[in-house]
Amino acid sequence: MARATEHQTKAEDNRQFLDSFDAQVHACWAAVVAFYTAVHLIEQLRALDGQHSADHQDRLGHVQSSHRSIHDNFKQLFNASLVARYGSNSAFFAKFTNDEVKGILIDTHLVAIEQYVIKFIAEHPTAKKAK
Amino acid sequence: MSTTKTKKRGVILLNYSTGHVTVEPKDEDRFVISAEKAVDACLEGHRQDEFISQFKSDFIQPLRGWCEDHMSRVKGCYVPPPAGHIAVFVIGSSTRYDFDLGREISKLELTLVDRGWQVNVLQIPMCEAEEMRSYFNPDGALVIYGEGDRASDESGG
Repeated sequence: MARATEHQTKAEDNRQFLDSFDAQVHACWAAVVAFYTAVHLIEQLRALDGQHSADHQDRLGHVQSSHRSIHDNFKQLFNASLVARYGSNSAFFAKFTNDEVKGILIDTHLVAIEQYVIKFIAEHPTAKKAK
Repeated sequence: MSTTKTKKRGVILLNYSTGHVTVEPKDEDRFVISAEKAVDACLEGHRQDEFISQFKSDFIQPLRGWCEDHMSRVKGCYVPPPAGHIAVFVIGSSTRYDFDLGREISKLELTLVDRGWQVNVLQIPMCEAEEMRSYFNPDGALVIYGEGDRASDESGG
């Protein structure tokens, strides 16, 4: 997958899935889906420059160097998804409440990245062209 | 904690009491291996001895200082032997994920990146050692802050 539009479609598909179930009931899985939605949004931006990330660290490096204003948003999603993916369900729910997953991870951090990507593409004509 | 039957496993404790980073003599070889991997991950093409020294002064010490500055929220800090990049695991003092600490960790990460280190700093809320192993392997990990959980590594065969 290399084109920005394909990553955009994937991000939108993930977002629709995230909105299709109650994130406060399936909070652990919602944290993972929220992170992978953000992953494709970052890849959408990177693809505008004809690049793609080799792995999570490569993608994080791109955020660290090129999209610092959403670095914290991305890191918090990254961190929560790490706990969701590698820890048990009980371990996850010992660390995050359902309200935090919905209210902070999704409605704050993921939304911030979504809004940033829309604004970035609107303000960078060359990026829109490359799309 | 027993120290009489230390195996060549487990975490590597560092000493900061002299103002410099020093390593227990029995851990020196393992520290060099871990530090060289960190250097390889970040600073290719340079003399390793110089950069191990730089790793101590320009990475470990600032990281230790940050932990001390956030000691009310930080219980421990580990750097496992890197594989391609340096991962730092900050253990929170709360069993809950601390979003405010997460924001401070993000700032720390960018500070380290600006110093030239390829690094990913992650928060693990306080948990049992067994659960911690779900997130990283403490064998050979540098203990930047906190006491480290070495007892289990020293008792086994």
